[in-house]
This record gives sequence, C-alpha cells and structure tokens, in this order.
Amino acid sequence: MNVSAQDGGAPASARAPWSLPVPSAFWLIAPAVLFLALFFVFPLLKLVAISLPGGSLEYYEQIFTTPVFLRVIGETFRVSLIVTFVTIAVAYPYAYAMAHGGRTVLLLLTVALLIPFWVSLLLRSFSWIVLLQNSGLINDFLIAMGLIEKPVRLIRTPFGVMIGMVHILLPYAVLPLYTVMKKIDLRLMEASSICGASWLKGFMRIYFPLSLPGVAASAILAFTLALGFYITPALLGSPRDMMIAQMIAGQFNEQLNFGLGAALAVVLMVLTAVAFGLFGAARAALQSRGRAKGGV
Amino acid sequence: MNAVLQNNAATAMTLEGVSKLYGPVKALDNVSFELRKGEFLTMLGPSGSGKTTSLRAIAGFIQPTAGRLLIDGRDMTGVPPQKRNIGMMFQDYALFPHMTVLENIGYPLETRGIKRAEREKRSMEMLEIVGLAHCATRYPKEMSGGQQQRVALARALVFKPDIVLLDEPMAALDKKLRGQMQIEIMHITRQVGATVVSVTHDQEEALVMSDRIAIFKDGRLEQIGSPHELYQQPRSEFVADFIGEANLLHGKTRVMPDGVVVEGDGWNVSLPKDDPQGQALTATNTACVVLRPERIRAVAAGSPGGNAGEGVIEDKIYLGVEYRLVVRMNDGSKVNIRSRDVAAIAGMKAGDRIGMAWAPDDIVIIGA
Repeated sequence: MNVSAQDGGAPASARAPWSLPVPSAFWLIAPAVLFLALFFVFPLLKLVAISLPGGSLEYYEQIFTTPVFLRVIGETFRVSLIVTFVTIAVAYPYAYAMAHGGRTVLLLLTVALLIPFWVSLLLRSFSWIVLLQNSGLINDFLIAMGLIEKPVRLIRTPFGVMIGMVHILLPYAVLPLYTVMKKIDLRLMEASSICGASWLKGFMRIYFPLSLPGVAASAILAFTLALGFYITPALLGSPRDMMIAQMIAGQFNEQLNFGLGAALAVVLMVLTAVAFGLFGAARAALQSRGRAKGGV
Repeated sequence: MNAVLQNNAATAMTLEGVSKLYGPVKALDNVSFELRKGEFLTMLGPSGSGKTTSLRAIAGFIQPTAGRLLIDGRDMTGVPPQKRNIGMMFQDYALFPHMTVLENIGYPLETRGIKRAEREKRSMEMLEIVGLAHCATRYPKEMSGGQQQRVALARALVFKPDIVLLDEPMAALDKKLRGQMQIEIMHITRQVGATVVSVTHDQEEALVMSDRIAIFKDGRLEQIGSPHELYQQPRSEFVADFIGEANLLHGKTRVMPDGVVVEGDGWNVSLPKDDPQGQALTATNTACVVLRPERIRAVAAGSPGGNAGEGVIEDKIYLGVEYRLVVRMNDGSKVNIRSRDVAAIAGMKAGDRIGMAWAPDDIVIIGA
C-alpha cells in the first residue's frame, strides 16, 4: 500500500520537485511502435535476409543482367511517371475548384472524391473492366452513336492501366493540392490584376508558384504509390504491361522463387527511396535558387 | 471658356449614378461624385455604408448594377481591372510572398512589358521615395507591418497610375504607427502627384489626410466636401455627428416677425430674418440644431434671452488645456461643452444649475 503510493499512485502535484517526471508520451505511441516493429520492420529485415542467401548477391546480379527484369522495372517507372503527370493535371483544376469554388462546390467535390474510397480497390478495378472491355459500356456507346464500327481496344493496353491508376490516385493527389491552395489568398490575384496582369499572367506568375509545394507533395505521393501498383495493372493490363509488383507476386506465388522475389521487392523499395530523395533534393534546390535570386 | 477647360482637365474620375445590388440589398444606391486630379479624397463611413463597395467598383473587381464610371473622360464601366491603370494598396497589403521587395514593386512594370533594367531602376527610385532602399532584396515576411505598407504603396505608385486606391490603409497598423504613416502617405502621394481615393471608418484619419471627404451611409453618398465644409455645414444629423463632436438638439420652429426661433424645453435658438438658414425653415415645424461643444459658453444661471439654454451640470472634467462639462437639459438630453474659459468654469461644480449661451453664427440648423 505504502509502496504503491510512493511509486506511482501519488498525484503529480504531491511529488517532490526532484522526483521523476510523469511517464513520457512514449507510452502512448508504444503500441504502434511495437506493432510496426513486429509486423513490418521484422518481416522487412527478413525479406532482405532472404534476398541475400548466405550473403550472396546472386539474385541481384540476376535482376540486373536479365533484360526482362530491367524492362519491367523501366516500364514501371515510365508508366508511373506518365500516370503521375496525368493525375496532377486532372487533380490541379479539381483542387482549385474545391479551394475557391465556394461551400457547395467544396461539399459536392469532396463527396465525389471520397465515395470511391468506400469502394474496394479490387471492385473499382473490376468496374473499369466493365467500362473498358470490347463489349463494355464505352465501346457499346461509341458504336451506338455510329462514331466507330468495331470496338476500340481499351482494355489490356497501357492506356487501360493508366486510366485505372489515375482514377485510383486522384484523391491522393487532390488532397495535398487542396490543402496548399486553400491557404493561397485570392486577393493576391486581385492585386495582380490591378497591377495590370491578365488572369493567365497572374496565374503563371503568382498563383502557380505559390501552389508548387502542393504540386510537389501530390507528385511524390502519386508517384511512389504508382510504383507499387499491383491489382490495377493485373486486371486492366496485358502481360506485356506488367509492372514490378506483379513480377514480385509472380516470383512468390507462381515460381516459388522467394529469394528472387525478395530481391525484386528490395530493388523496388530502394528505387522508390531514390526517387523520393531526388524529388526532395530538387525541391530544396528550387527553393534555395528562389532565395538566391533575390536581386530580381 | 478657359475656366471650363481647366475644370474639365481637373476631373480625374466621375461616378454617375452608380448602384450595386446584391439580391434585394442595395450595397450602393445611386452614387455620383467627381474626383479632381491630384486630390486626396477619403470615402468615410461605418461598415456596410458602401464605401468599400465603391472602392471595389472603381478598381473593377465588381461591376455596378447601374451607372457609369469615367476615368479621364473615358467610360471604364465594363473594363477589367488590369486595363484601368489604377494602383491599389490593399488592406493587408497583398504583397506577393514569393517575390522580393524589388520584384513586388516591379510587377506592375513587368505586366506593362518594361524591360528588366528599366524596371529595376524605376522600382529602386520608388523604393528610395518610400525610404526602404536598403530592403530591396528582402522578402515581405522579413519586414515589419509599416515597412510592408510602404512596399505596397510603392507598388501602387510605381507605374504612375491615373488613380491610386487605398483600402483601409491604417487598419493593419498598431495605433502608434498610424499617426506617423498617415503623414507619410500624405507626403509621398503628394510628392509623386498622385490622385488618391482612400477608404476608412476612422474620422480622424479622414480629417488628417484628405483634401475632401465623401461620407457614406446605407449605400448612399451622404455628403461630400472639404473637412472644413463638412464640419461647418453638415447637411444631415449623421454628418454632423460623424465629423467631429456635435450636440444635436431637436426643437419646434416658430416664425416670428423678426426672424425664426427654434426652441425646446429650456433652450432656444433665434435666427434673424435675413439668415438663409432661418428662411429655409419657415416651411417646417421641427428642426435639429447642431451645436459644437467648443461653441457653447457656460454662464451663470438665470441669464435670460435669446440664443441661450439652461441645465444642470452632471460632470465636470478637467483636461489640462480645457474643461469639459456634461450638462443635463430639462428634457433629460445631454449637452457637451468644451471650454478654455477657466475663470468662468472654475467656480461651477457638478449639480449646479447653469446657463448656456451661443451666437447665431455658430449654429447649423438641419431641417427635420
């Protein structure tokens, strides 16, 4: 009884000034840290270990000497870059309308943006099949309109994959853009116009530069997510459009080549980190250049 | 002929019956006035009076529902802001945060296609005029509020606009800086010969800075004139009350053989027959008398006669250079007196019944 009162039962105000401070906030994050350590960090290290059997780099050698692997890695980056670009291009005006279109527009656009979140990724990718396939809604419609005679091949093409990916990535790109844009004071655009600038000039010179942090954040998010896409390219693409995540899954599930699969996963992870770092470096360089050219 | 020509040349801007409706709400109701070249005009009024709407209509940010806006004789009613050649200093300055001070000031020149070297030269000259030549390479957020305001002013003036608009220029400054910046803005705009329209709800600021003041109320232009005119000849109770301090006494009018009398319980104002104010009153039954506190003399009680009143001292406040008396009249209304006649007032104390006297010349009558 006495002991417990001394150890921790006493209220903080009754403590002597020299006693230990209240338990740190660490205990609040402990469950999360423990969970991540056990189910994320440990398996990750295990994965790295599997990719290096007996310290040998043979799997990595295999990856970097086999054209198929290199082609898939290259294709993954190419598709991800295009998808990122298209996603930002679509997300930018969407976020602009959300940030500056008034309350009703914000509500409608937010709901439209978030509803897909409640539908599983798998279901959404399947929906695209319904829309894009040769006997799908889009082709049927175009034929009925008499615009085309034979179905256009939309599915099992890079185009189909990209459409699906852009759709899924859109909310992730819109939200960081919106956060930055709603902080941009539109009176700056008024100031720009009274200074003699057309809307376009003001946009290029004032609004767009101020929205760049949002563009960068959205681009990083969309790009890193795109690199790891699996279900969407699997459903909407042809085997020729295979992305690296599919290849990793193939090694584990079909080839049962755990070592090679693990090595591919590590390569994807490292390349993603490199891309992330490059983005960050480019941003920092851009900012410091902006500061350095202070003399007009 | 010559006078007419000069008069035309002197008009920088004309508002002709400008109205702005927001649904059923009349934000601006048939506002007309002229702005002279080189003058400093302040639009003064409480919030919601239409002064800011007028400013935004002049800038071109909103289009009037009715009426015309002429700048330098040209109809600018539907012209977008960027084609009006107007400079504007925004309430919170609206400096571009990602540009340096020099780039900010150079922006209006950039949009006018002026080459970089020339741009920098002219921006630098302007920066010297506002006294911030050492801050050219700084960013707005690295500067104090007063400095940011000067940058905003420089940006509004650098391209020699036809008109410069100031939106609540002192609102974002602390009280100490206000007095200083009022004088400074006045000097700078005069130095470059700018025609200025300012907006404020602070009558002191309006009095300090303006050549003329336009008083707004409920979307209408109540009265426009020099500070002196508005103080001496207010045309409405609102103006009398808004510019300076005023005692407003409501009384009945009576036409006498030798003039007109306005009287209330325990006071009266009599105007001789030839006074134009009195002549205008013969048609009405009631009138409002405007008495400035410094124009009322406190005298001993019981001195009868015309142009006098009586009441009980409620408060007597000594302010160093003058006394302030609050006198309660018979009908309960209060009259403020400011007097430097220390000898007359020293003996009076709260609770005393005193007399008041004024001269017919010190009185303004507003028909009611």
